[in-house]
Amino acid sequence: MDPITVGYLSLVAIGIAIYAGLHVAIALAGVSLFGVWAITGKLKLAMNFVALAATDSIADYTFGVVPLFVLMGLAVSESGMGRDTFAVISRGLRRWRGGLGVATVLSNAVFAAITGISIASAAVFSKVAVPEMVRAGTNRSIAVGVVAGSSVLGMLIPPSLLLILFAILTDSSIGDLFIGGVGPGLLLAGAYILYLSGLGVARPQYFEGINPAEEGETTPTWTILPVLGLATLVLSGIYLGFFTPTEAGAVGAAAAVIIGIVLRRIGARAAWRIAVQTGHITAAVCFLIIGASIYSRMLAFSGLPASITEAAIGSGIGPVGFLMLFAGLLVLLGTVLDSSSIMLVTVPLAYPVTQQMGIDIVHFGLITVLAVEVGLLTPPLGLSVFVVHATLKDTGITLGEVFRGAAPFALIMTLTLVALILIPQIATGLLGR
Amino acid sequence: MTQDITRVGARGRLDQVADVVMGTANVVATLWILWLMVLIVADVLGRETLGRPIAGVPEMVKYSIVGIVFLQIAHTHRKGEMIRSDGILGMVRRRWPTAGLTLDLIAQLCGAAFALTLAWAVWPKVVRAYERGEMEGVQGHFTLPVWPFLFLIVLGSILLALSFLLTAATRFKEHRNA
Amino acid sequence: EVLDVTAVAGHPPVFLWVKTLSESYIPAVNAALEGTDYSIDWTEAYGGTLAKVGGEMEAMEDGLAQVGIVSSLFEPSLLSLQNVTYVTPFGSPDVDLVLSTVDAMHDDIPAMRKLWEDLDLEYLGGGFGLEDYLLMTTFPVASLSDLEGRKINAPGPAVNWLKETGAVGVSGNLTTYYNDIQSGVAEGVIVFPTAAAAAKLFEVAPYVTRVHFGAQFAGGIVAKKSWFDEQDAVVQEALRAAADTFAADYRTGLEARVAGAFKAMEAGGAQISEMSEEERSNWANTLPNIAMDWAKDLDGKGIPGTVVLTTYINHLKDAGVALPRDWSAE
Ligand code: NA
Ligand code: NA
Repeated sequence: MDPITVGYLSLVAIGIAIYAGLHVAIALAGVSLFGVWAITGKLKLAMNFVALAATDSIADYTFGVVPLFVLMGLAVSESGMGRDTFAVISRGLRRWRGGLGVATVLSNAVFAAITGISIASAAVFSKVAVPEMVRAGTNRSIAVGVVAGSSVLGMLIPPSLLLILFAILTDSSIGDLFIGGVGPGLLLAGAYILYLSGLGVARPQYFEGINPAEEGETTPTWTILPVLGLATLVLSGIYLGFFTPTEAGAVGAAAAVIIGIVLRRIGARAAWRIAVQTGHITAAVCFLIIGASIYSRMLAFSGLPASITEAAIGSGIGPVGFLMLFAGLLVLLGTVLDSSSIMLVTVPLAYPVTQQMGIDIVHFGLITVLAVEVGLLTPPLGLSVFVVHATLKDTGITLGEVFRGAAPFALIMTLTLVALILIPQIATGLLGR
Repeated sequence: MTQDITRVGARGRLDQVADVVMGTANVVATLWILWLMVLIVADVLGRETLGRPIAGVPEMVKYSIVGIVFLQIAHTHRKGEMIRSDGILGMVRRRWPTAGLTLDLIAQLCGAAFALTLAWAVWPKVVRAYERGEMEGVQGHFTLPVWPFLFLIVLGSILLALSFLLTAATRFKEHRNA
Repeated sequence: EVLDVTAVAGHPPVFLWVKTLSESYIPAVNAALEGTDYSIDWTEAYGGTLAKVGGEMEAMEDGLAQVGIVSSLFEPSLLSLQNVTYVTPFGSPDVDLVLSTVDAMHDDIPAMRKLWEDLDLEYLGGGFGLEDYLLMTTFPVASLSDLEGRKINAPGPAVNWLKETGAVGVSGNLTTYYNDIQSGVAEGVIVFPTAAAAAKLFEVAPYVTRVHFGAQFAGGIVAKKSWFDEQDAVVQEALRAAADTFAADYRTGLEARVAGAFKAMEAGGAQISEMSEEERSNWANTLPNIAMDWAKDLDGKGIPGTVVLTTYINHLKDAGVALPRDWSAE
C-alpha cells in the first residue's frame, strides 16, 4: 500500500483505538506493527521492526532517570512538605484579600521546583489548601480552581517529567529544556497572582469572611526549611556543577527520602509504598514511551512527517502561524486525551516541521508542554480537575463546580501560551538565545 | 488517563501464582530503582569529593531501565495503572454493559496479543546476543553483557500477556455472574 | 530488473558520512548500473527512522535494510578488531592514512573481514573515519600535569585515554557536553573538531589543545551478506566500486569541514594551541598499555588481536609516522 496513505490511516486507527479504551501503548505499538506490515507486505519484517524499536529505544540514559524524578516527587509529597510550604506562606498573606489563593500559587511554584509531576501537586494542595481557603471564606469554586490551575506549574517549572519526555522524543538537551521552563512557569504564576489580586479588589465578596484569628496554628515557620533546602540543593547543585540535570533526579530523590526519614514523616512501610508506586508510574510512562517510539519510527518510515513538513512549508504559513495552529490542535486534543499521549502522537509529526522552519527547540518544547497542560483543566477529561475532585469528593463538591472554577485559569494559561508563541524569549531568554 | 480497577472475584490458582510471580518481579524492580539512586549518588560523590567516579554508570543506568520497566509492567497492569483513556469506555459500560465488556475484552486481548508478539520477536535476539557474547561498554574500562536485559524484555512481555489474559477472564466471569 | 534496497544510517544527514552516503555513494551505484539489466529503487532511512545510532547493524541483520553505514565504534565487542585505532591513541592525525590502512588490513587479515561476515555483513570498503581528536578545556593546558584532578568528558573508548593521567573521566555525549561544561560538571572534553565546532563547545571551553590523539576508523559501508551474495555480479561490483567514490568524496568533504571547523572556533574566540611533542610523549607513556591489554584479551578469545595491533602499528611506522609510543612493542 502507498506508505503515506498507511501513515494517515494509522493516525485514524490510533485515534479510534485510544478512544475505544485500548491501553495507549498497545494502541501505538500494535497499529505500528500493522502499518509496517501494510507498507512492506512482510509480517516478519514488521515484527523485526517493532522488536528493534522496542529494544533499542528504551535503552537510554535519559529513560534511566525517569524513576528517580518520580521517586523524588512522591517522597516530597509523602513527607508533607507541600503542606508545610502552604502553611508558612499563607500565614504571611492571610490579611490580603485573595491572599490565600496567591499563597496557593506561590506554594505550588516552590513545590514545583522539587517535583516533576503535576498530579502530585494537585493531590497535595487539594487536601491542604482548599479546606484552608474555604474556612477563610474564599468562594469554594475559586478555591478548587486555584489548586487545579496552579498544579500545572509542576510540569513547567523544572524538574518536569513532560520536559524529559519531550527531550526523549526529540533527542534534545534536558538541561536546556529545564532552564527554558523557568520563564514560562514564572510568567504563568505571575499571571495567576495578578488575576487573584485583581479579583480580590473587584469582587471582594468572593473572599468574604476573612478569619484572621486562626487558632490551633501549629506549623512552625522552620518547617519550610526542608523544602527550601531541597530546592536549593537541587538547583545550586546543577548551577554550581556538582551534578547534571539528569543526575539531579537521583540526588533529589535521595535527599527527599532522607529528609522524610529524619523528620519521621516517612516510615519503612511508607518508604516501600512510595518505591513501589514509583515503579508503577515509571513502568506505565516508559511503556508508553516505548509505544510512542515504535509509532514515531513507523511514521517516519511511511514518509508522512516529511510530506506534512513539505505541505506546511509550501503553504507559506510561517513559524508563528504554524505554532498557533499546532498549539490549538494540542488544546483541542487535550479536552479528551492525557498530556503524555498527546505529546507522543503529535511531536514526531510536528518536530521535523519546526526544524525546517528554524524554530528553537526549547521554544517549541515549552509551547508543547504548556498547550497540552491546558488539557488538564478542560472538560470532559481534565486530569488535574479529576484529581482535585477525587480528593475532595467527601465534601460534596461536584465535578462541574471544579471545572467551572478551573475555567478562568485555563483561559489565563491560553493567554500565556499565546504570549509564549509570540515572544520566544520567555522560554529562551535564560539560555541567552 | 484513568486507572481501570481490577477486581478479582473468584480467584483461581493461576491468579494466585501469577500474583506471586508478578509481585516478586515488582519487588526486584523496586529494589533496582533504589540501587540506581544509590549508584548515581555514589558516582556524583565519588567524582566530586575523591575524583574517583564509578566506571560504567551510564551503561548501567541505560540498561537498568530496561529491566525495571519490563519487570514492573505486568504488576502495573495488574494493579490497573497502565495508562488508557477510558472515559468513553466507562460511559459505554454504564449504559450498555455488554458492549462495554466487549470493548474491554478487545482491549485486554489486543494487549495480550501484542505482548506475546513482542516476546516472540525479541527471543531470537536474546539467543543471538548470548551466543556471540555481545557486550556493552568500553573494553578495558567497563563492560556488561547485553543478553540478560533482552531476556528481561521477553520475560516481562510474557508476564504482561498473562496479566492481560487473566484480567480478560476475570472480567468475563464477573459479567456472567452479575 | 528493479531491486528494492533500503539504506540505513542512525545519524541524520547533517553528518558528513550520511550526507556522502546519500549524495555520492547512492548516485555512484546508480551510475554504475546504468545500461545494465538492473536498477535500484532506494529507500533512504537515516537519523533514527529505522534504527538509532548503534542499531544499524541489527536493522540489517533483521532484514530491515540491505545497505548501510555501520559504526564499528559502537560495537566494541562484535567488531573488536576494527576498533584498533581507538586503543592506539597518539597515532597518525592523517585521516587518509588511517582509513586506507584499516581498509587494506581487511584484505590482509581475513579475521577482520570475518567479524563482519559473522554478523551477516559484507564490508564494501569506503571506511568512514573521524578526524584527529583534540582536547578542549575551560583552562589552558600546557602539560599533562595541568589535568590533575580536572573533570573531562570522554566519549566511549576515549575514557581509556585518560587512564592514570590524574584527570577524572566524566561520561557524556554530544548533546550534553555544552551544558556539562557550562555548569562545571565537566571542565573539558576530548572531541573531534567538526563536532566541537557544530556544538559550539568553544563558547564554554575556549582552550583548544591539539593533542593529536590521532584520526580514527569509525565504521564503513556494508551490505547484508546473505542478500549481497544472491545478487548478480554486476550489482555486486557496482555496490563495491561505489565505495571508492564514497571514500574519495568523504575525505575531500572532511578536509573542507575540518578547515571550516577550525576557522569557526577561531572566530568564536577559541585559543588554539599545539601540545608540545614532549608533553604528548609524556601523556602517551603515562597511560597503561591499553592496546596490549586489548590485544591480549582478544587473543584469549581466539581473535588475532596482537596480529592486528602489530600490523597496524607497522603500517603507520612504514608510512613514516613518528609514534611517541610503540603500543605493540611491550
Ligand atoms: Na517541576
Ligand atoms: Na481536558
